[in-house]
Amino acid sequence: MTQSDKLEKLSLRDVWAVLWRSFFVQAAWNFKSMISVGFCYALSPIAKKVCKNKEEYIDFLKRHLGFFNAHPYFASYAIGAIARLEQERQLNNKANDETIEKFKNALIGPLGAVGDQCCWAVIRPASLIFGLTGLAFTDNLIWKTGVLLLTLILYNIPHIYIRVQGILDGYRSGFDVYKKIRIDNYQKMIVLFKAVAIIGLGMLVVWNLDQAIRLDWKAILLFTVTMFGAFIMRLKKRMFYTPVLLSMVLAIIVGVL
Amino acid sequence: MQELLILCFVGAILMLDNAAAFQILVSQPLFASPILGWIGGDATLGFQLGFLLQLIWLSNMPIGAAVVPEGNFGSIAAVILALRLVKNFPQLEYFIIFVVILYGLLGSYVGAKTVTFIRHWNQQYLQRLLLKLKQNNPVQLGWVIFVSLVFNVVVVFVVFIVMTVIMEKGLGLLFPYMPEEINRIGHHAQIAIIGAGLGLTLTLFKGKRYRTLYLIGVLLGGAIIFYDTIG
Repeated sequence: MTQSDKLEKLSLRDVWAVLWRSFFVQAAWNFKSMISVGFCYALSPIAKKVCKNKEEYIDFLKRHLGFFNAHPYFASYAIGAIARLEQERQLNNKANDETIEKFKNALIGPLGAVGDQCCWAVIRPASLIFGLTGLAFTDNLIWKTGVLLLTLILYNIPHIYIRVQGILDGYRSGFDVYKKIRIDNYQKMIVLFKAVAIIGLGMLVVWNLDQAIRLDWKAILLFTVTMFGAFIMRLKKRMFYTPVLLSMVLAIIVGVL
Repeated sequence: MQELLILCFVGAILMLDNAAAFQILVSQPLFASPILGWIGGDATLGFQLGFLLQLIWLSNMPIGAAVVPEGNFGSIAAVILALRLVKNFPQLEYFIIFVVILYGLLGSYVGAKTVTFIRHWNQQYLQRLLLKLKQNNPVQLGWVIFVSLVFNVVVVFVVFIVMTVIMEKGLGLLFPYMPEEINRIGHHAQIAIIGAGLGLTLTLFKGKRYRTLYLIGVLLGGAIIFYDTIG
């Protein structure tokens, strides 16, 4: 009988309890321990299962209230893995306090990096561009509302998938979870969302050009200058406020002229 | 006053989605603005502002633990103010859109400060938890999470009210003297904002390998516009 056979498997109820709590992982975000309070809260259904008495539960919380940070969605990989390691710790001390702590610290970097690259840099902007394109090309308020609902679904399918898969994969893999936290594992999703984003951006450029043409030649010039100006300022100098404010100033000048 | 309280409360609840809970996207201007628009009785304005504000903030990413300008906070504040002002000065609608977008940029700075304050305050919960655990007292983590969320809502709600009341009073003194022609600035501002927003967003997906996809987008957009024009 292998070690994993002895482990008590996570029931659907456990997965649901952890998943629900994982939505609040950043609720008590602070500069000292970052997401540790929310992380402990998400782990608490497992802790109550694993810990035999009050003292063990208090020890569990003390161990996990130290510094920890992760991307909010990808934190579920750590939650799943720690749930397994805590069970293993109780069973035969295969995982001890020190190794669990070191393991958690080692996960911080990959969880943050993959989460940012995958969700914040691609899936979120791509979904929003999809929504913006839909709004630009529809006039009816009902259609617009429908577009927003579609956008919400488009974004939250990968979002919920990452959270659920993170808990399950983390629990199955334990110490080996780092093999799952690789950007390559999400490449297909990233390529698909990038395609949606880029096609949407192309459509938006044409749509706004059409709006400018309907106004006057100054508007066409204004659109061209603000778009290329903002692109270059962002790319070369990482500027954000300046291009937006400059575009407003140009709008005033063109409006007055 | 009752409408202002409702708008600020809904805005504060939506702001939870920004980082504290769920993060399902509803705090983004694209969603928050129409929701507030429906509640405030002007869904069209909500959609219009949501579109413009979202384009401005699309390229901003919350990387790691960095506190970035809170575009969602600024946008929600801007929409609340716009709904209030357009009701009182409907003849200046396009100029109001221009003004509230500037106000939204300022609001993003206030938002970053508010988030920093809340995160500092959250440290107290951690310290209390650790103290209780040191005394071997069990703690109710669910209660801590609930209190931190309520505190988050209360702070954001108060800041939204203060910001809106100050701006509404100030601009309310100025706007009766504004000529309707000033709306021209608003028309051009929308083109300029979309231009700047697209320029900023294009930096997220740059590279020669994407040319074909951009071309597909341009052709598809062109075809839809052409079809609409013919129709």
